[in-house]
Amino acid sequence: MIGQRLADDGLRERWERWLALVTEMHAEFQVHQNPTIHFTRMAKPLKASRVALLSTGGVHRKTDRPFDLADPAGDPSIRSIPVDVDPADLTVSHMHYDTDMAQRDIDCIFPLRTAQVLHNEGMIGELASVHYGLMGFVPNGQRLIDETGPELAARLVDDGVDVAVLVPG
Amino acid sequence: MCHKSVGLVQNIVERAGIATVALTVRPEITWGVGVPRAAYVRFPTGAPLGEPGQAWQHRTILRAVLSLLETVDEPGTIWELPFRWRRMRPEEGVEL
Repeated sequence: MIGQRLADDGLRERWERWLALVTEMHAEFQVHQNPTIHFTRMAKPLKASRVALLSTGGVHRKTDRPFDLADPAGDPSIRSIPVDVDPADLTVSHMHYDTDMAQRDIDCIFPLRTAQVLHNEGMIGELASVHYGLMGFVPNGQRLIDETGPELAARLVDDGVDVAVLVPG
Repeated sequence: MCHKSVGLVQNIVERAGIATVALTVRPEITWGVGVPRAAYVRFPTGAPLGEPGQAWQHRTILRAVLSLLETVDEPGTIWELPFRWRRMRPEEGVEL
């Protein structure tokens, strides 16, 4: 096991401080906590599994429509990123974190090249044919729960994905 | 906000029968939303895999994140990875 389990000490207080801050800053903000935490055990080892990446850092192809950064309710739409994309053809649209490092090296938030290396090394069985970019500034997460999440899950299941790695912006 | 969005989507993907793991640099948000599995790194927002141009660092982080899928058997836990920003250099440790 690499790493150690994070103790809960102080997390509740910091969570509540964050809630107070974002509630004050964004009129559309709604608190959402998963009522049930789901858990799927690996059906096969990683070296035999199909892996997809999903980033909420606003990553998308330069030829795709950028995320809508002006809507105070956010933009919960999905951008598909084919596995054979040239990283130079990717960019980031997001106003709520400093995107400088991601613009310089997209693997800082969307490690597709990195995953390809791990696949070549044999750690990852195969990569999904399509990976996904979201723009995580969605103050009211209800559309993520009702639309974006189920749509993504269906696409991943259709692609035969066993494992998804999620990366925030 | 990105962390909240990750958590809501992650749990739905997990429900569909796909094993998921999230990176986090804001563990209080990940904890508050509640996710199947998460790996915490004390890295700045905007670079959870590490610094630009440090491909070996990205590999090390991603390997560690993926390893949680085969070791964690309790839902809703967050695991802190033993890496530190800008002190993480190849000469200071063996690449995982």
